[in-house]
Amino acid sequence: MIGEPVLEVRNLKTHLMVKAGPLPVVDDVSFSVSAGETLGIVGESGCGKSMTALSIMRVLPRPIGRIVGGEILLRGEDLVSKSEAEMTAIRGSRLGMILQDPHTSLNPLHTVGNQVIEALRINDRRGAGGSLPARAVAMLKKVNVADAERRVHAYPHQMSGGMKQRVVGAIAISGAPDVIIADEPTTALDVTIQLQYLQLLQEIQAETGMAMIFITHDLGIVANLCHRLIVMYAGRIVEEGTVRDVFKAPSHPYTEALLNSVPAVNRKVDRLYAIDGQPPKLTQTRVGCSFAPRCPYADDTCRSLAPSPSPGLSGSGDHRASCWKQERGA
Amino acid sequence: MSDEPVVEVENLSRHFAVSRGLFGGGAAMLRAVDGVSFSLARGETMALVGESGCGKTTLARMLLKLLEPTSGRIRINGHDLEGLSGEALRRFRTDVQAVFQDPWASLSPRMRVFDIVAETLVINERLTRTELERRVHEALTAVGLPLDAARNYPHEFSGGQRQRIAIASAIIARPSLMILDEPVSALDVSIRSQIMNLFKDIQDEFHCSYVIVAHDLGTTRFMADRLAVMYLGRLVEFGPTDDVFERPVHPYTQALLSASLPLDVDGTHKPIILKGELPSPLAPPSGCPFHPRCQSVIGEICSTQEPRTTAVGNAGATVACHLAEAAGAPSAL
Repeated sequence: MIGEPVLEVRNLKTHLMVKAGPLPVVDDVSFSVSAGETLGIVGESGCGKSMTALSIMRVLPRPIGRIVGGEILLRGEDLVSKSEAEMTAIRGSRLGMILQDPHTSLNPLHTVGNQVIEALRINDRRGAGGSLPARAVAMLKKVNVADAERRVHAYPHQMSGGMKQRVVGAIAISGAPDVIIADEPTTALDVTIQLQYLQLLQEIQAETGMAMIFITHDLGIVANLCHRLIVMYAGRIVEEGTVRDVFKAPSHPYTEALLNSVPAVNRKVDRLYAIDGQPPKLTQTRVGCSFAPRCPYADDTCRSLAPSPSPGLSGSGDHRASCWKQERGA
Repeated sequence: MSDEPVVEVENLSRHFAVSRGLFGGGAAMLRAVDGVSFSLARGETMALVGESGCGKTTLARMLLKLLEPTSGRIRINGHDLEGLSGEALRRFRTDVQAVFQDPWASLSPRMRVFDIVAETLVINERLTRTELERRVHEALTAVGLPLDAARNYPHEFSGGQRQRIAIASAIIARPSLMILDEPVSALDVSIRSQIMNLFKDIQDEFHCSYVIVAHDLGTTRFMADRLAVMYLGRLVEFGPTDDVFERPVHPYTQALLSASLPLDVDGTHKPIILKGELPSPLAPPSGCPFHPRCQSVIGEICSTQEPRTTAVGNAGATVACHLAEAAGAPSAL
């Protein structure tokens, strides 16, 4: 069940301060995610999806990453203005994160049990019953680690990638977070294992009602897992809406191109749809719509003026696309 | 052009001795590729699919003669790879080329594009400078790169363009066979289709055959004429791509194909979610290696007897499953 919004991002702007000047890696991004809801963020490398996640967690690369504007409201509290100490208390307890590579996100020198216990101890709340080792075993069982009583004593290198990612999941949910951010959590896993992991995330969400932000480039996963999605291009949101609305009626030419360029598994085609050119470099000064140089519909307006989100496509209210084509059509 | 297959693989195996643990304790045998047979016709594309540890990369490396088989035979254009040496080996090295996954790692950062692309010809053929330049320009044009790219270094290019450089350096020798190991996995979605279309164009122009290793099934469906599904070193199913996609016989193929989630928002796709993890290739399960995870176990036979490779239909398709054997199909091998 989808409840009230728990995380609201408003006009977030994040820059990377490099020699050449500030790079606008996240540029005026706004979205919200509700309890029990899964929001997909899709886009190609460099589009700002991971930087958005790192901004929310306040773990941008130091010293060059900086949030230069906007608000990140977690149940109404602005995370941008929190001190480092306050953020440390929030991370892991109210915000959980699962990263792409389970081989690097666990400490090779400690047993997985001790790493789960560490997370449980940090997030300990009054009233939690049972000894820490017993609760660690319970957490591993919750993420379907087979033979949890024995595996709790294993080191990460003794486990497969899929098992390790389950342990990472156990650590991420150990503090019963409001929001979990999963950044390409299944990209490093084999397909049959990926499917098991996605099912697990869905089960955990159904049980705990947590909100989830799922960052991926795999549109098949979005179609099957997410409720809503935002499509990012060159640091900006170009389209957002429910998965159904966006997939059935993609309204930004980039979204349309992305959907078209996924090779179909269920039929044979002679030629794939390809988007010409490449995503812009962030060092380029931006005039007009960032996608205009690759867009088949672009005209002079597109090349000179940046479009703003036009609301209310496909009838359901929250389907928006930032495209002059939409504004003209409206 | 003769009708003889480009690649013939017969009962091919490659085993590795792996020492167990820090203090030895006896070597275990890892059967990375185990009794694999298939053949590939000229101008066709075969895809090797399967999960990590299934042996697809080991098989690809044997086809490139970067790794010697433990047993079995590989013939490419009628020549047995075993004992190939001297002039014959040199010819093989130009005739069979490879494109690898990561164009950041596969191109030397210290060489100009011209030298990267020309290298095979410089080593293997005596050409005049003018002739060499002509061939490099021809290759760059075929992959859609501007001719002045020849003067630049790889770091000046994006991932998609780097992969084009890698392809140019492979096609310059006009190979009859190219081994493509995850050739688009490192690229962005919008760039992938450009490169896959390019592979098709090159095949039309140069009539080469491809063996492509890929885990993305959409890529496979688009590129391949034949599909070889591997699991723990065994070829579990082999056949024309469209047939395998539309009527997969082996339960593993069925699960693998269903695990690729389509862009379907109506919830009609019901994936088969397998039980358990991939077993360690060091200790493969008894009988059929897939039986502990299989959704269609038919009985004790699955855990005690290894299934034979059985012919299915008459398009040269094979499957290794007791279910197919029980269905009364004649044994192929």
